[in-house]
Amino acid sequence: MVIGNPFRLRFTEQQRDHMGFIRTFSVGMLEVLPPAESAWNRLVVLRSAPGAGKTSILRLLTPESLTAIIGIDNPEDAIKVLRVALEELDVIRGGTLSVLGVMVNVGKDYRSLIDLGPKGAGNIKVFFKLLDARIISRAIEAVALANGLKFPDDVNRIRFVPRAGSAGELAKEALSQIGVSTLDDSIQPGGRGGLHGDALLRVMRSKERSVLTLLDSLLPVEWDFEVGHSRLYSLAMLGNCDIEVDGHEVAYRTVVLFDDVHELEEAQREALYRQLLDRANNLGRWIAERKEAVPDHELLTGSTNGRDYQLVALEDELSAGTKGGHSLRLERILGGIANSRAQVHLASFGVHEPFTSLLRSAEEIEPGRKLDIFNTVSANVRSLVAENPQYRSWLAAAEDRQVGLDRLEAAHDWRELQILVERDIKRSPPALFEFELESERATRMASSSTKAAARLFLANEHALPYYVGCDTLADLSSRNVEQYLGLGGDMFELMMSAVTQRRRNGAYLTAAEQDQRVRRSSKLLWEAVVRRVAYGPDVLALLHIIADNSRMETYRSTAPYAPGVTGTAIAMHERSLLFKSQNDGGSYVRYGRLSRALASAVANNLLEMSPEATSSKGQKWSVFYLNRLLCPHFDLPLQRGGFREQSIAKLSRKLDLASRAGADRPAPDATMPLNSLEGWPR
Amino acid sequence: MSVSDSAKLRWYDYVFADDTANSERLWIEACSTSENILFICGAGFDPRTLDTPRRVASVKWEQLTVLALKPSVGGEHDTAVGAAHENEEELNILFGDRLTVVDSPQVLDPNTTGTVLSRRLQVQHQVLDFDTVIVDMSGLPSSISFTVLQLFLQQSLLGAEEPRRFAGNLLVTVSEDVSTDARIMASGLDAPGTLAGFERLPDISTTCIWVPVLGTGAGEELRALTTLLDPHEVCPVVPFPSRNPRRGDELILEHRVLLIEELQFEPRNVLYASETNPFDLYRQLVWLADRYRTALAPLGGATIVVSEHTSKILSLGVLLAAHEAKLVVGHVRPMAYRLSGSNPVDRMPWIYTAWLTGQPYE
Repeated sequence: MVIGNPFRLRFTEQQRDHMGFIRTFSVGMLEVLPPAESAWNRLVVLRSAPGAGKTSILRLLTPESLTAIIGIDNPEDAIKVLRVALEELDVIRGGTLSVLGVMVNVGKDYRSLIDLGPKGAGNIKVFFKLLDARIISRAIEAVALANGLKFPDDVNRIRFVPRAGSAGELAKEALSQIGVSTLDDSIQPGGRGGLHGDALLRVMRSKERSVLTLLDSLLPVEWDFEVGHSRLYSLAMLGNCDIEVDGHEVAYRTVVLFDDVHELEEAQREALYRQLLDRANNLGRWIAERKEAVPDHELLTGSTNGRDYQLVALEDELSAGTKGGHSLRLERILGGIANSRAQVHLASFGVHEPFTSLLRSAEEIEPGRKLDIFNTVSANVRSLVAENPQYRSWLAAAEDRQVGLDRLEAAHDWRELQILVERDIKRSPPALFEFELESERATRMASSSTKAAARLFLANEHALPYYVGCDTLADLSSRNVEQYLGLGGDMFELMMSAVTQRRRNGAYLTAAEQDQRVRRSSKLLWEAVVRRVAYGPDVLALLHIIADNSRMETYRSTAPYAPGVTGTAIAMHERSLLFKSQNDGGSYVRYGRLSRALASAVANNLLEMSPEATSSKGQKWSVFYLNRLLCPHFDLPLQRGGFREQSIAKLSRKLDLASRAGADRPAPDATMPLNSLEGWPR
Repeated sequence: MSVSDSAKLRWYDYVFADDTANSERLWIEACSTSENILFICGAGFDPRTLDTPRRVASVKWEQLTVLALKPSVGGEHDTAVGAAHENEEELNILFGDRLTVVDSPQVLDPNTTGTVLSRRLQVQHQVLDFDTVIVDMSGLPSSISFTVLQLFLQQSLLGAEEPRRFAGNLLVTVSEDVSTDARIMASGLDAPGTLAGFERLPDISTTCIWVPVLGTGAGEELRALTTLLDPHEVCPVVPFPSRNPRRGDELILEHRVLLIEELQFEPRNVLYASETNPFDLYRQLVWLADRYRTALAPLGGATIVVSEHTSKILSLGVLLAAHEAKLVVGHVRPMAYRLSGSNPVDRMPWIYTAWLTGQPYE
C-alpha cells in the first residue's frame, strides 16, 4: 500500500479539491482578520512573507469554497467551528452566502505592460482596461458559481441592474465609460433593465483580447488606437448594481480580492492603491501582497488614515501574545493544521493519536550518560569556584537545591550557575579582600533566559537533542505555514518509517530523531539559498555574517544576551538611505549589493524584519532576525529578542569579504568563524 | 495519433545535421543561392558562444551580416563580465565591420526581453528581409533565442501578413559540449513566469498539464514553476536514449521529493525523448498536447505548459513544439551564472544544425 505524505500534498488533488482545502484550513487563521464592521467597507491589506497563508484566506472567501462549506451535510466539528467563524465575520448568514468574493490574481501579465505597452500615461490606462475586463469577467464567474450555474454556458441567466438613485447613476456612468471609451454600443444598459451576463462577458473578453494581442506581438505595434480606462470602472459598476439570477435579486456584498499585488510594477501598484483607497467605492476591497524590506512610505500614509484601510500583517497577528519568542496562538493554529492533515494517514497505520503528541519533548538519555554529563558540569563549576572562593555560598546553595533532582536537571542547574558566576566575575571590580557573596544574589540574577541559555550551552557541549517537541516545530516555522508543512512532512516521514519498521516506540519520535532531522532540514535550507532566491550568493553571505556573529555572541561564557543572539539591527535612518540608494542613486549607491541582498532575503522570508522600530542606545533600529529554520545549523536558540547592531558601512564591507570567501560553498561551515578572514572589520 | 495525423506535423520530415561536418555542409547548401545572409549569435559570457561563429567565419560569405545579441549582465557575474568582453573582442576580429553588437534591452519584466528585442530587430535591422538566417542558440539564453526564433517561425507561416512575411531559409545551430554544460552554475532565481511571444496562461482556471524537461540541478527551478503553475498533472520528460542509459533514472531520483511526494505524478506519464535529436522531443510534445486537448475538451480543455531545464539541443525541441502546438513556455531565469573550474584545453564542441524553413519544405 502506498501512503502519501499528507504534508507534501500541497499542489495535488487533495488541495485543489475544495473539500480537501476546507478540511485542512485552520479556522484559527480567521482570528487575525478584521471584524465584520470594518472588513467589507474599506481597503483591507493582508501582508506577509510568502507561504504565510494569504492566498488561502482569500480562497476561503470565494464562492467555490463557501458553497462547499455550506453544502456539507452532517458536518464534523471542525466544519461547524469554521461555519460559526464565518458567520461572525458575516461571510455567510443563515446557510447562504452574504459575501461574493471575486478573486483576481494580478501576478501575471500586468508587469509586462510596462515594457511592451504604450509609453507615458496611456500605460496605466491600458492597465486599468485589462484589469477592468478581468475583474468583471471574474465577477460574472463568481455569481455563476455562487448560484450553481455553469460558467460560461449559463451566464445569460445573470443580470447586473443599476440601483435606483445616485448609486445607479454611478453604475450607469461606469458602464457608459467602459462602452463609450471603446465605441462599443452593445453595453449601454437601458433604464433598470440591466445588462445580461453573457453580453457583458463577451465585451470584457473582447477588450482583454485586444490588449493581449498587442502585448503578444513580436512585431512593432501601434498603441494609438487602443483607448484605455482613466480609472477602474469595474469597482463603480459592481458596487452600484444589483445582481439578479433568473430574474430574482441575490443580495451579496461584493468583495474584490486582489492576490499577488507585490508583483505589480511600482507605478501600477500605486495606481491600484489609489483606486482602492477611495471610500466612494461601494464594495469590499482586499489586497494580499508580500512583505518587502523597502520602507513602506508611500502607499498607506500621507492623505489616508486608518479609517480608509485596515492593514493585517499576518505574521505579527499570528504571533500576538508571544512569550520569549514562542506564540501559543501560532502553536495552536499550526498544530491544528498538522493534526487535521495527518489524522487519516496515521489512522491507516493504526495510529490514533494526534500528530503533535507523537513528537516527544523529553530527552531520553540513559542514566550512565546523565551521570557523566552531571559530573563534567559540576566539576567545571567547582573548579571555577575554587579559583573564585567568594562564590562558595552559591555552590553550597546549588548543592542543597539539587537534592533529589534528576541528574540532567541538576546538570542544567550547575550550568546556569556557571553562567551566573562568570557574569558576576566580569561585572564585579577586583576587590582587595575576598568576602563571600550571599547566595540570594545568584537567585536574583537567575531568570528564564539564563535557564534557557544553560539548556542551550549544555546541549551544544554534550551533543544533547535541543530542537524537539511540537512547540519547537511551531517556532521553527518562522510563522510561516508552508515552512511548517515542510518540517511536518519531514517528521511524518520518520513516523511512517518507525511504524513500518515496527520499532518499539511505534510512531513516536525520540528527541534525538527530531533534533537530527531538524538540523538536516536547516542545512538543506542553507544549501538552497544560492539557487532559490534572487542575488543568492550575496544573500547567503549576508545570512552567514548574521549567523556567525550571532553564534559568537550567543556562546560567550557570560551569555550576555541570553538565551542568545539571532539577528542584527541597522539604524532606521541608515535603512532609509540603503533603499534610497537603490532607487535614486547618490552617494549610497555603493551599498547597492547590501540593499539588494537584504531586500531579497526579506522578500523570501530568510530574514524576518521586525514590524516596529526598536529603541536602543539612543537610536531607533530596524531589527532583522534569521528565519528560525536557519538557526539549528549554527546551534542557535529559537527565541527572538537578541540582536547586535551594525552600521551599514561595516555590514557592506563584511558582505564583500564573506562573498569572496564562500563563493564555492553551498552552505557555510558553522564552526569556521568569519573573523579569521583577513581584513575582517572589528 | 494516426499516421495521417503525424503527417500534419510541420516537421514530420525534417532536415537535421547531427555533427559539425554535416552542419557546415548544410549551411553552405542553404546559402548557395542566397543574396543576403544573416547570422545571429550571442555575445555573452557563455563558453560556447564562439564555437559556431568561428566555423561560420571560416566559410567567408561575401554577403554576410552578423548580429551579436548581448544578454544583459547583472551585477553578480563577476567572472562572466570579463568572459563576455573577450568573446565580443573575438567576434570583432572574426567578422570586422559586418558585425553589429545589439545590447539587450533594459526591461522591468525579464520575460519580455525577447519580445522587446524582436520588435527592435525588425525595426532597426529588418531581419525578416534576409534570404537565409542562421541563428546560433549556443550563446543565447532561451528568453532571447526562443522569442527571436518564434518571430521567424511565426512570420514564415502562410497566413503571415505581407510585407512582413519571412520566406527565407531558417537554420538553427547548437553547440553542445557536456563538460562545458557541467561547468556553468546558475544561481539566484528570478520570479517564475512564462515567455512572452508564446501562448499565455489563461486567466480563468483550466486543467493545467505541465511537461518539464528534466535536468540536473534544476530542483529550485522546478519548485518555483510548481508554485506558479499549480499543475493538475505532470508529465516529466527524461532523456532516453542517452549516452548514460541510467540518466533518466538518476533524474527522477534527484527530483523525487517534488515529483513523487508533492506532485504525486503518475509514473506512466514519463516521456522519453532522444538526448540528441530535438525533433523526437518535438513530436512527443505535440502528440501529448493533442491527446490531452482531445481528452479534456468536454471538460473545458487543457493548458499545456512546457519548461526546459536541460541541454540546448533539447530546448530546441521544446521551442518547436511550443510554436506549433501553442504551448505555454514556463520559464525561471537564473539571475547569475558562475563558471566552475577552467576551460579544458581539448574542448571538443559538437555542432548540430536544424533547417527549419525554406527550400527543403517548399
